[in-house]
Amino acid sequence: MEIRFEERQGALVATPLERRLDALAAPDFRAKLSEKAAGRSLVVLDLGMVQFVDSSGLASMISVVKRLAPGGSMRIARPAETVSSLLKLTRLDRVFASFPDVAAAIAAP
Amino acid sequence: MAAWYFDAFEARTPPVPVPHSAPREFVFQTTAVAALALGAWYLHWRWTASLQGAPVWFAAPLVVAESLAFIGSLLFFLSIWRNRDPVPQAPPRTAGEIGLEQNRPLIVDVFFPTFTEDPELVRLSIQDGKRLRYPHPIDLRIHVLDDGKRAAMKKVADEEGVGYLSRSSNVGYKAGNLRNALEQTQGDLVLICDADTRPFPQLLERTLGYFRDPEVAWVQTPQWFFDLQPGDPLGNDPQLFFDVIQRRRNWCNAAFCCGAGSIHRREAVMEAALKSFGRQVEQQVLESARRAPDHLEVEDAELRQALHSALVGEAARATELTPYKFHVSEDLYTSYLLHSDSERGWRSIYHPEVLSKMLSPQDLLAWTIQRFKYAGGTLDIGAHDNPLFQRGLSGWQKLMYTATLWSYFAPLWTVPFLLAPPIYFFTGLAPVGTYDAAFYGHALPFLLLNRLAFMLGSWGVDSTRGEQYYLGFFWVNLRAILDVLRGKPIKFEVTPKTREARRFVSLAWPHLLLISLTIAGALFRGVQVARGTAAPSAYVANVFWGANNVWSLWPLLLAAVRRQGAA
Repeated sequence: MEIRFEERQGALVATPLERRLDALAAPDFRAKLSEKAAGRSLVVLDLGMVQFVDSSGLASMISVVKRLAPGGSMRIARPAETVSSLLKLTRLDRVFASFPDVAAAIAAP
Repeated sequence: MAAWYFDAFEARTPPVPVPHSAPREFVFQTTAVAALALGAWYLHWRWTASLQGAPVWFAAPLVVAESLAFIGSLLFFLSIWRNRDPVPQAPPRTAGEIGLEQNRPLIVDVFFPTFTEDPELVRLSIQDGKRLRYPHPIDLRIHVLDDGKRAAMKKVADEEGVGYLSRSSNVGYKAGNLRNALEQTQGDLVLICDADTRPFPQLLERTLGYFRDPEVAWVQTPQWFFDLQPGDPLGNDPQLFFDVIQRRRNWCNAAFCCGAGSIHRREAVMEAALKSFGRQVEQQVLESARRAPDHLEVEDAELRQALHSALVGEAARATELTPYKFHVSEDLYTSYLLHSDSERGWRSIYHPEVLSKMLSPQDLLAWTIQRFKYAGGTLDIGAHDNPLFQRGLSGWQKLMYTATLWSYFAPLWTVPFLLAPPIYFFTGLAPVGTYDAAFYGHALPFLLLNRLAFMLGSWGVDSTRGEQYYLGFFWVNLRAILDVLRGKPIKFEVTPKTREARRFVSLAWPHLLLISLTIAGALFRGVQVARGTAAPSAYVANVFWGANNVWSLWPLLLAAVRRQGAA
């Protein structure tokens, strides 16, 4: 799983450069993102290129959240429709607030 | 090469599932209905006409116990009411054929969780895992999940060329161990074994076909202890549970997962875990808001939103994501949650053919720990997530889970049944007004037909030891009930697979006491009957009753004094 990392206005923006975040990609995604996200207050996950996330992918996002600083949060930018549906189905849309773009995710309170 | 006590049993072959017979099933159902009707008639008589003249302190608990036992019979007969075996499907060629969006060979993980088991014992399991065959290309990945973090175990895994996974803590015990492995592996399907589970080569080719149905979440196969001693002195043989009870739950989608020998769809397990996680986070946020309602009244919308996000984040960090519930009965609990997910309608399959072999608990201590876990875990689920009120379960699923739960309340009736004969022998008091023709006329038809229905319902499976241990289990079961009532955690221990070099009379003293009291009482009262100072009809009834109790308690006592290594 290739991920592009950027610093923007104090937030870590992580952009997976693959179409699927599934069980195959999850272990690598978790390892790479956890390392970068550890102790951060705000991580924005830009899912613009990801078209499919399964439960294992979503589970790997949860384990990253647990590495953030106290009070920190992980937000999602540009989720595909299927990703939003899965978030809603699992009631995780409250844990991972979604935004139409990275700028909105960073600017949100 | 290490020599094992079970080497002599390696050539044993497993029992074949009893063939289904529609006529026999009909006869069983008819007999069960008749038995239950006679039972209701008997109980009506007991409550309305048999108590006069009997001391209330003795008669009342006993008639209540009989009524509870009757409910147990009702639930049991309903839970084994019909058998519909699943239709095996051809092994899928690709991941796409089990509902995934990828046209590649299936990836199957095989997990061998271990903690203290001898690494050489686990090696045998790994070697059998490596012999798993499949008719199509498959990516088989075997992993040893070592919570013991042992160098010797890693060495065995390396020598066998399989994966070795360990973790820094042992949080969640076996369920936590499985979670850690799921996080690091990628299989579409996961075969869960115990450290001593030896899969047969055909396991995957016989079971993966069921996953063609995208709603099938897991397939459970029977657990077969290939090392049982002649006569099965410890009552370990689980055939009654698997071949009768589990198998009869297929038709209403209520067969539950029992851990070893089961194959799971990763997506099902993970999705259920996510939903449970989402619910728990939501509840925690609501609770936090209730405890500190001030933040809801913050006027500034942005600040209010920020406070809310912080609450959600904290709840998410504090909540465990648990593909397998961190619970002493993690398999049962996980099944329960998956079956309750009516949004997805996950299905379970019980495949009746034995496809692996494993080792049985080797002595009374190991047996006690294992049974205590089963009882405590099930009762704990009942105490916190009563199946009768669980949303998403169908009526029959509720009944099946309730039947399992109810069976662990057995001491409520088995203890009075065990105590009644000695009480009569020593006091001369009886729990019925008189042991006359009316008593026998009501009780015997019910007891005989109940027995017959049980025989027909479990046809082809030897349940003698199971029946004995059902009564003999009262002490362990009673302790589990008391622990759950007191809110004590069910102490979680790995079932020892080796015999302890000690005797276990301490585990069976209640049995010894009851046997002694029953025999001594029978002799004491016998003398009085011989002298003509006590009625023979009550004595005869209680001698039969007491003899049945002693017959049931005896094997456990014998197991307690069995020497280490004795056959």
